[in-house]
Amino acid sequence: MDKQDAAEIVQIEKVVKRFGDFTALKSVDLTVREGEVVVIIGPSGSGKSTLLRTINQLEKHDQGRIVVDGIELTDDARSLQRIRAEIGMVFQQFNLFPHLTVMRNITIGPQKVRHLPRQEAEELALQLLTRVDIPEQADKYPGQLSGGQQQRVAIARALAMNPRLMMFDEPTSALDPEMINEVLKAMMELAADGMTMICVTHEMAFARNVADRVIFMDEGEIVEMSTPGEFFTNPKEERAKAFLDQIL
Amino acid sequence: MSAVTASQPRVAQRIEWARANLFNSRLNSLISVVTIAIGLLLAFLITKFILFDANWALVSLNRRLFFVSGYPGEELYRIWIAVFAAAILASVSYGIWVGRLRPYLITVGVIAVVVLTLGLGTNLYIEETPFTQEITSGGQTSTISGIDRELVWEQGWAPRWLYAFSLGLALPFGGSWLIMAALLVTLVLGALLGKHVLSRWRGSPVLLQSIGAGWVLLVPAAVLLQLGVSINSWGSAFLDILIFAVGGFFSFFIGLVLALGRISPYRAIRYVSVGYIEIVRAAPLLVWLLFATFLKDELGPLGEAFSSISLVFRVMIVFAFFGGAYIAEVIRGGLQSIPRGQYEASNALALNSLQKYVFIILPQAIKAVIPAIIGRFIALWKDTALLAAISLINTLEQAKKILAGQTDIADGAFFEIYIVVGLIYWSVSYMLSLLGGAAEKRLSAGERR
Amino acid sequence: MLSRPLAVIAALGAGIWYRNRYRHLVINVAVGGFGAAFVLYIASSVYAANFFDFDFLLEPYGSPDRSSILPGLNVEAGDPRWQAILKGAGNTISVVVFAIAVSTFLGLVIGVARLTPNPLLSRVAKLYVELFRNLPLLLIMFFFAFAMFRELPLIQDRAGWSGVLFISNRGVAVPWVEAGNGLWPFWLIALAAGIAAAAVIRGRRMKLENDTGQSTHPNTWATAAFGGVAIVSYLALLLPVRVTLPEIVQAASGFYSYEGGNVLKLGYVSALIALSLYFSAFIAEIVRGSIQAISRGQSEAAAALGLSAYQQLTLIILPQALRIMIPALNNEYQNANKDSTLAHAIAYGEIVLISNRIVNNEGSLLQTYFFIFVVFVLTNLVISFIMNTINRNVQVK
Repeated sequence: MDKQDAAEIVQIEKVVKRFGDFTALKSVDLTVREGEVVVIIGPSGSGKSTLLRTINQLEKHDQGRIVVDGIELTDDARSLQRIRAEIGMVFQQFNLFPHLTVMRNITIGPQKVRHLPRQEAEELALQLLTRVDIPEQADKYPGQLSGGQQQRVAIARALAMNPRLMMFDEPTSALDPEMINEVLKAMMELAADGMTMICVTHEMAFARNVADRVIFMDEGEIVEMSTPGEFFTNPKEERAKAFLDQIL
Repeated sequence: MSAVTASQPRVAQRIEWARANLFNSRLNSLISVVTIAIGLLLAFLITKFILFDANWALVSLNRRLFFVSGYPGEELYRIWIAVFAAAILASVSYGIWVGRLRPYLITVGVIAVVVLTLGLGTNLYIEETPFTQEITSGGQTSTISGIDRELVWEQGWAPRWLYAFSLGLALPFGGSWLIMAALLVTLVLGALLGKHVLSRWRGSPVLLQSIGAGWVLLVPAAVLLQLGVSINSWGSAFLDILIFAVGGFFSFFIGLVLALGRISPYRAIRYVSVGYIEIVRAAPLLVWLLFATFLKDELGPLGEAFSSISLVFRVMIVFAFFGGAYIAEVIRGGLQSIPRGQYEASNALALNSLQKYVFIILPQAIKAVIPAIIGRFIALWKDTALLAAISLINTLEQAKKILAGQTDIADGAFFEIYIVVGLIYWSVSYMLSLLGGAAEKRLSAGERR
Repeated sequence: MLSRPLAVIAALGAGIWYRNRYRHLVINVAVGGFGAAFVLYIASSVYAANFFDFDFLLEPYGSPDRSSILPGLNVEAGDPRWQAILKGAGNTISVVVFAIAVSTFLGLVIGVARLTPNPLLSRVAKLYVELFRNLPLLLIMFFFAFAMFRELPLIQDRAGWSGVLFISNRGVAVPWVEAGNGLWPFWLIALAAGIAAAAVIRGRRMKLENDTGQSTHPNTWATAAFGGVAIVSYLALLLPVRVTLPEIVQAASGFYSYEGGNVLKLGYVSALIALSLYFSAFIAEIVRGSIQAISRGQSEAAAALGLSAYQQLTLIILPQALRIMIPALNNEYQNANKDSTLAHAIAYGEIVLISNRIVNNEGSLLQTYFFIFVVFVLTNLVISFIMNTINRNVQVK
């Protein structure tokens, strides 16, 4: 596969993260290449979200090395801002800015960080809203939208920064069942366009159909990493088997 | 005929309502009867006092002192400009964002009738007649001369008891009939303009920003306007409002800085903010005011510099820094109510700290605590009464002075004077509390949306 | 154009500035240094102003102030200044304690009245709240001191009721308690023991009632226990305190005076009334808010259990409402404590008035105001401590 030869966009080496006495990540290694779709699954409390959040330093890691786009994450504020601008993130709780219109939610990043002129930013926002099928909602406030629509706005907001990597942190967990598919559809289209994605999700169908690689985490470790075909039909590790038995 | 038949069921409805709510049980009936009896008694006593017993002449005579104290008459235009600017902003804002014109116009209309007509033809003045008197005692005759003062009330068209209604409100500041009429017309036109013309752009940020900027600039502009007049002639309600406005204006920004300091990632900034807030809140405002009054060179050059400022400005500084400590706690409450996800989403978008707070966190945090901030402003407004305790001539002190200086012409108008002073303080804080209530209602409605 | 060394320094500076850990160091050192410098500056100028010279405290106060309600707290001209300041603090406390008690009682009544289903009563209560909480406290004090109490009857007019209350321009005479013999402190101890005993007995009876389901009348038992201890110890200690009633007597010289009871000076009475009215409005709002916050679902649930309206209020609503009320009351009591300073403007001899006379005579501004500051920090700590103790006891465990 040509994706094997693509440039490495994220390199994680022996990363450890502790919360007080609790060790959330125990020496995790992971490499993500350009164009790859990586899905991380695992029971709750297994460190999936923490791993995701160390990549754009919403959580600072305690040990190990994280290199994103060739820049190592230290406590240098400038390189951190540069990297965050290259990573789009979508949260479980959407985290849209409730006091700003949908349009402003999307344009604020490009305008303030990328210094795009307002008109260009708004054209871009409309394009992206069209892409996630809600161009007519531009002038509403987030509180006036359904959960699924809000999450699609959140995706558009992240894409507006023209990121090289998109991260999804359980994007469908807070949604009513009938709204999950509209968000998954947007994510699948994104994957089909060749976006590099790391997704933490419980949507096994999405993992099976879209992922290039499935990572199974438990107790702060990567327990198993393989292609979806192999993982779902023939998991090697006991813990992965037990997890799959519970949910499938 | 139809009116009678229409009113019949209404009366029946009223009776039905009273029976259901006031007389539905023995206890409730008792409560209702006692409340009605006491209420009627109080209403009778108050009405009797206002219309017949009270002597409003002293209030009426001194109304200019109540509002502007000894402000030089030829400079009054400075105050009028500020008043008109505030009236335009207030009425336009009301028209745009509240828009309920009927109660507004009725209120302005009633005030117009009271203010503009009741005083017509009335003339109140003090007549001074010099007298000399010869006193003979023990064979020696000495001459005493002095001035005898008498209050003259030339009745206007309104009967005296009706005139009492105006409570000396008629033509405040001693302003002319024409200026008062213009002010009332401004209030009406501003509201109409806001409602029928400007409210079309209610959602537009340009309108919001320009009117907001108008409000923010009003205070410094109004103060700068006063600088041409000697500080010694600032007094009464004018002084109260000025100190409230300046103190409130700066206390908001000081409070904002302190609140951000309290949650700063830098330990030293946190400690300094917390220390400041706790020390200021530990002592009463009066103690800080007295300290600022007495301070001379005890605190070295800084204290000397501070004490060389005129007392009015020192008081403004104390109000700003004292109010700031309290507003900081209010804003901190707002900051704590912002979910962590808002910070994380801003970080993920690579907004820097300044952008994060200016565009994302602060607008939400401050909006959430607007009612509480207004509550602090009400407290600050009421605290301006304390100037009377440090020998500045505010409304309260002016009342005391009037009472002391004019006992010969209107002895015992103590209740009347204090009622009017109370009305001045009360009406401003009541209006502010209505504003706070409206903000609260709007906020909780926003949450349900 | 930036010369090379400058550019290097700038780059180096930026490199340091953008590293979080260095930035923290730089800012903490800078701000901390600034704060420390400020504290040092204050300390040195305070030292230069002879802050630690406390000799002036030993000199006599100079002029008497007789506005206290307790004879022992009246400041005499010969009192040393430190004692005068302490008496001033005592006067502050003696108005604050009663103001808190009266305003809490009024506030409870008004707050509950606002929530009664009777629309008349609730509207009257609302009127009361809106009237007093939108007026400045100082104005209310002035109103009573300078208007209401300005023209009072003379003492020989005997306005009032013999043995209960007299009012004249010399003050308000009320019944008071005084020591009957030297044993009164022991009686106070006995009373405290009685309260403790009552609490223990009530707890026992409550437990019994809960265990057996039988009605055990815990409140009657507790009252009886306390009453028993009080009466027995009162007799055993040979009537340690007695109540004295106010009378107006005329001396042989024709001079009238109060005898018995206690004469509350008008400054004190004005301050007490004003503080009580003003803070009762705020307390009424707290009471209303906290009862409303609880009552919605809870009273329905309680009614569904078949509890009477009184039982709903005392067993379900009030215990829960107290938990919301107490922190807010704590805040309001501290405000009442601080705002009692306003009484100095109506010539009540509380701490600020007493201290200002020392400052005027001696110029010892920093020391004297430091004492005032300490007094308010301490009294507010005491209020906080008491309220927090109560709070711990009403919290759901």
